[in-house]
Amino acid sequence: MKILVVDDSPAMRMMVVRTLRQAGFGGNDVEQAEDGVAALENIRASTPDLVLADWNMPNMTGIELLEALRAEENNVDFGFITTESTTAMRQKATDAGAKFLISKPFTVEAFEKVLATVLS
Amino acid sequence: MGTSYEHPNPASIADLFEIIFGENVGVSDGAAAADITDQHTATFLDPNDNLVAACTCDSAFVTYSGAALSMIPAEVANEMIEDGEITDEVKANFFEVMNICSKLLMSDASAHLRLEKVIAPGQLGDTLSAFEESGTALGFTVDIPRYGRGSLSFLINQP
Repeated sequence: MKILVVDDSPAMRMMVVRTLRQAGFGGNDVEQAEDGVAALENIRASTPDLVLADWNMPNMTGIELLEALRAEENNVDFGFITTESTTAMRQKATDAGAKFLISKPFTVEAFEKVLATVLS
Repeated sequence: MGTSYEHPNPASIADLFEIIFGENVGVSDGAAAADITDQHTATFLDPNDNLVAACTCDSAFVTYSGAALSMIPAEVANEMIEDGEITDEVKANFFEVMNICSKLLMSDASAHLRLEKVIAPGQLGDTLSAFEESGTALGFTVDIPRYGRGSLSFLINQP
């Protein structure tokens, strides 16, 4: 399976990839993008099985990326990994079509719990 | 939803930092920075783009936390502190640390806030002048395992 990790922080992308491995999902093909624009290009070229995206990013935010995908009728599984974890933000994510929102800072256990269902 | 923000304390800071830096992060109460002009200052905005909080950090905390986030060797971090030159990578990592620290100021009952920017030492100007009358300052010392000790202060602008 292909997982696309989208975050403008290289360190955070590294932490997400490391946590994916620690949570038992290291056997998947993991690609990275530094913002929504780069992610959209990547997804148009080859739709992944799952997108894990930050919310706040330059050029195109995570929610803008999700809205662009749904406007193109691309229903790829999409989840946020973000500090934006208020009830209102979670509702906005759900309304836009996100499957889940993992709050930063995240734990291996959070990845295991959420992704076990999505990647099963 | 209320507008008051959480006041970080050693336990809440340690809980958060241990998730990103590993176990045994030491956090204790300390004096808030007396002179914040030489500090690295993160500013936080409420949903109406009002400046409501800031976090001022010394160069040691900036360097150690930024280095630890992507596991840059401690020796390299110490060289940066000695040379007074923090790399762009470490500065970018520190920005992410401050982004995560926004959670220390929020609860389900508080208004949302977001990290706006990090201001370099000497560039602060009168950015925080409004905090002088109604601000709360909370200082802490943080020991990051395998790296070292730095200090940070949260300034919260609310009655």
